[in-house]
Amino acid sequence: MVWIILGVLLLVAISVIAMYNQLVSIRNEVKNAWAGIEVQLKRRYDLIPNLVETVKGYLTHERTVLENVIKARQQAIDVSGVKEQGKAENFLTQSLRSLFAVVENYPNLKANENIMALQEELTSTENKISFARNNYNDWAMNLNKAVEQFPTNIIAGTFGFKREDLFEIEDAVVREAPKVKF
Amino acid sequence: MALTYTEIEQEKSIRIWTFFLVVLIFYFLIAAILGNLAKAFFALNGEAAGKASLFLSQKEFLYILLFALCAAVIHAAYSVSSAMPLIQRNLEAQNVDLSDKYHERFKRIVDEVNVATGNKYKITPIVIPTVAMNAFAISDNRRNAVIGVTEGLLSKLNRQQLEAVVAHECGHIVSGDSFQTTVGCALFGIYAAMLVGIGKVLRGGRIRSSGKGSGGSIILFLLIVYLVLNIMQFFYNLIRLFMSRDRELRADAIAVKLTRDPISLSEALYAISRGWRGLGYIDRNLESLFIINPARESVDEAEGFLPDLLSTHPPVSKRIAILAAMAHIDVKNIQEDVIAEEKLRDASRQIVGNERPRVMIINGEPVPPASPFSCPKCRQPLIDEEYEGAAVERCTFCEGVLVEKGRIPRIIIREEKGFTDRIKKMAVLTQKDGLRRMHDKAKAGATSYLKCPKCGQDMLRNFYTTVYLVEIDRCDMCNLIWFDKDELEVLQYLIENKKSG
Repeated sequence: MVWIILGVLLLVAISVIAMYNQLVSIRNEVKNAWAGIEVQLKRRYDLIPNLVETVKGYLTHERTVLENVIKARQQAIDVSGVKEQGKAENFLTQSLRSLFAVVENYPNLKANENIMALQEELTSTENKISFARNNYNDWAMNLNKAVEQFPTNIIAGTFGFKREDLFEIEDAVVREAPKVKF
Repeated sequence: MALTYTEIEQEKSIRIWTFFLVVLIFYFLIAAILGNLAKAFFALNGEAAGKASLFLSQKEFLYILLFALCAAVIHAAYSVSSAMPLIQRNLEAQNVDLSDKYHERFKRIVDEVNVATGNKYKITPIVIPTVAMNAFAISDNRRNAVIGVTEGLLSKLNRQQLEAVVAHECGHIVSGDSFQTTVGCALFGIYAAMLVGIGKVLRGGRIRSSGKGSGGSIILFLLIVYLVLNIMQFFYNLIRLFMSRDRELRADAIAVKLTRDPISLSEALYAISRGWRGLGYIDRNLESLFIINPARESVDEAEGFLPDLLSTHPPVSKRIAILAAMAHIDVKNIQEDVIAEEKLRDASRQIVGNERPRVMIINGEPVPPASPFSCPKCRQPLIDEEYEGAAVERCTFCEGVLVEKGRIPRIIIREEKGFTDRIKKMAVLTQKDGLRRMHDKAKAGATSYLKCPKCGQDMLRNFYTTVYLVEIDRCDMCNLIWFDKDELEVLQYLIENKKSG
């Protein structure tokens, strides 16, 4: 009789340990995924001053566009938190898009190898940021699932594991697909 | 029927792991049966006939299992460590050439999708220089992996479709498919080798009878073993094929998870299934590495019980249907889009203007970069140019072009460039006149030769091949080929025309 009770207790102890370790593992993966996004963002931040320097000589009459890019970059560096960073990054992307739209009007600038290479790098980095966010979202989903599902939610509650926010588009205006008018 | 990619991935993973467990149990079961047969043989024919039992004792059973385990671990470890270089050599794959526009884009895509997997693997991109369209992935147990695509694939798919194919291959890598396949092959390779050996003996060898056992009973024993192994091999093949098909579907699901884009993957699958996907002789075992079965058999594309049982890949139509359902669109839309894109690409082949000299801005003035080589005819510096995505060097005076030999297959496979009527006429003349020119050359004897821009030696002047009678100058020490004006275009046109018949 005693042996049965001891056996059951042992089983419970083992499952508690297993669940706790799984939660720890997923939480660390989430942190790793977040750091992965930071790596790609940093690459983007580093490329932008380079870009601004190269075009400054040509775009002497397009001061506002350049200044917007510089301001947006500084803002994105300073902010923290999933939602705020998402907003700041979107703002930076839009200002970069305006800059490249302006570059289209200067043909000798478009032919410049350096500009083309920088544009390619930036596009590639944007793709990587998007993929890194996907990865982060997947791991955040795993963490949320573990925190909310039974029986891991008991362990999560006891040891203080919390849900993580996903990258989402909050602004309804941004979410609506842009209407192209000719 | 599971709809979302997470559900598909989970469901297939459970099935695959169950099958793999069955394979492992099978392996040990066969070892035990063979051991038992051997013991029975010796019990019936040996010295202690009648005294020993026909079946394995518990201790003997455990010993056999242990021995089988050791053999398995050793063989599997060896196979896994040698699989990657072996397969690469088999397929004649090449590293990416970063001066090439398409290769560079491919490398970027591999790096980007790697980020989506969390950078857990070091993935090396390689390219197979063939016009066929296919892709494969291998990995080892040390987090190194290789993703290979064909030149044909690079030239025919757009960026999103390439991303989807790369993501599918990454799916194989992160779920450890190649590792599992190699282990399975290694384990059953032992029995396959035994089958071959016994087959040889039974078919023609003489069996020396030694000791008390007569030749007849040895043959009987071998026959029984042969039968048992054959039956087990048959079941193993069935299981292996089940696993292979499930793996492809799981990789499709992971591809959608990584890119969130089922439409591009289905377009890519459809485009590949329309084109030629064969790669020459491919070992049966290697088939399951590829995104679409390289040995195009009608069995693969048919549906039904027997085809479902016997092919390594699920039918392409089924895979496209699953992906289309994820995107909530009709399969017809995908087919129409792919065909429309193909037509658009053919129609927009640019006759001029595709060659972009690489331009640098120095002191505000655009300056084309001069290469260190000079034109063998005009002695002026050559200019770096991008021709069909490959890096070549052109002389702005005589318009001749210097090309590295290894880049020519790529130029021929890619179809960015269109051809003027003048080129087409020249091509016809070249083929017609070629034989006469060959005779004239042989009669005339030595002519003055061009000097190689790199090493200064005389270049050999002959026809590109005896089929394509375009005259070129080649330096085989430096692997460089010099085309006079229009000759490269003519060669491209001739070969493309031949391809399409």
